[in-house]
Amino acid sequence: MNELVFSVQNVIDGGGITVSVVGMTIVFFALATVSLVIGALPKFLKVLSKYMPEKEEHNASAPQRSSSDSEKIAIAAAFAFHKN
Amino acid sequence: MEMFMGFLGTTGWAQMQIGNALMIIVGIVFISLAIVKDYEPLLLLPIGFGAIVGNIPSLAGMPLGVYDKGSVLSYLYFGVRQGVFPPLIFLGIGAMTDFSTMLANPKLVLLGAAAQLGIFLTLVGALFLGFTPAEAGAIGIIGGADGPTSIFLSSKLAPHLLGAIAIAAYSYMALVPVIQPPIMNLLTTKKERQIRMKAPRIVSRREKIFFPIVAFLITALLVPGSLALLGMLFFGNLLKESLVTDRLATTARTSLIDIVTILLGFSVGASTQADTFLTKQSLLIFALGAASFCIATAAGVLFAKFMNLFLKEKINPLVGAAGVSAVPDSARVVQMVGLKNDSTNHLLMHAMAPNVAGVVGSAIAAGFLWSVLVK
Repeated sequence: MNELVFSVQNVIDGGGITVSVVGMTIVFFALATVSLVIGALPKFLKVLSKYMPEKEEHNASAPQRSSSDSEKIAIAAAFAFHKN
Repeated sequence: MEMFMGFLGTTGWAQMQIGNALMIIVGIVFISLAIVKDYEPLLLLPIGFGAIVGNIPSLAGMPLGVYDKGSVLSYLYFGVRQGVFPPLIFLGIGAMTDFSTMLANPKLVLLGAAAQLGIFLTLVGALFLGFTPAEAGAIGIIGGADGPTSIFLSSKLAPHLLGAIAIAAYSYMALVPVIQPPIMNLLTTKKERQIRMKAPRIVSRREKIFFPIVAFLITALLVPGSLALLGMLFFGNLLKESLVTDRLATTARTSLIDIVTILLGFSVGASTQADTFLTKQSLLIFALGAASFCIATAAGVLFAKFMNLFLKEKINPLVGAAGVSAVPDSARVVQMVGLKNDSTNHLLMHAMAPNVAGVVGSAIAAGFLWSVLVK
């Protein structure tokens, strides 16, 4: 940009109105679609849970490995290493 | 003696220009705002110190500044110049963001879309002032109130304006608590500000896991230009919500984002060298940036009022102001203004929905502008 010339013609030449209208439409369309999908997601998951109950999911009901478990593993590994 | 005199001629003092001194003062003001006022300290402090570093005059032939080929700072600045840092920041943001409130109340997503009006009206304003379409697009994205997105897009569309755009974006993000409340109060009645919203429902783990995958597919397929930002955002969120990659999620939202923030803030600050930064264009960018924040806030609030015309369960229009991204500051401002009008009405959780939707919305807008304005 070399020189600043204030003019409405710049907006017309640069396609400003078109870019703005199309841009806002796309942003709205994308987020409205996301919104609709989010709204429908619980219904879809309800159907899915009939075939794949959530409690059977990987890691969903599995007990979290506590730090004491990690410590036990580390101790066992160290013991095995020491024995060999 | 001759060598000593020659050396004196090479010192920063001897070569200091008024512009450098001014930018060093700006850097000190940023550091003061960060420390004294606690305004976005994680960003303003690195940017402020970077501005001081970037404005120490260097000797011709010595590669020291961010724009000098082969200098250390130019390698740090590479991540900004090539748009590497912003997606990494988005990864961290994704790994720390809880989309539950948005998933619980999907209509609030639209407020995040409405607030993007600031981007596009500012683009029109920038074109009117004589900026090229690519420059206008890079300036307009300041209205998205999202620093990484602003840096990402300006690195692609108008790298020569990157310093001014980044500083404007982060400055106004820091000033969200100052800029937004008067607009929110002006556009709403006390009765509207006291509207209570129903507590959000509990969201299942499966919804949280499905969301980043589905939302990424919808947005990235529609606007591939937003792939880098949204891909990292939703990937980070999946790391968090899957519960099987705790270590990765923790790294992304702590160490990684901290490292990238340091490098990004410092190198953006160092890019504000007086000769490239103190221009008429920079002043106009700051003016347009302020206007874009105001428009974005107003658009969010007004759209919430518009939605209330059709909704049985009314939305408190204050939450519309959180559509301008600036996570989580604008949501905090909504909470603060809400509490001023009713000390028992907590709006923070509700405001987080348009707030995170605004992040997605501004990344979509950036992807769109990149795709249509790049040469």
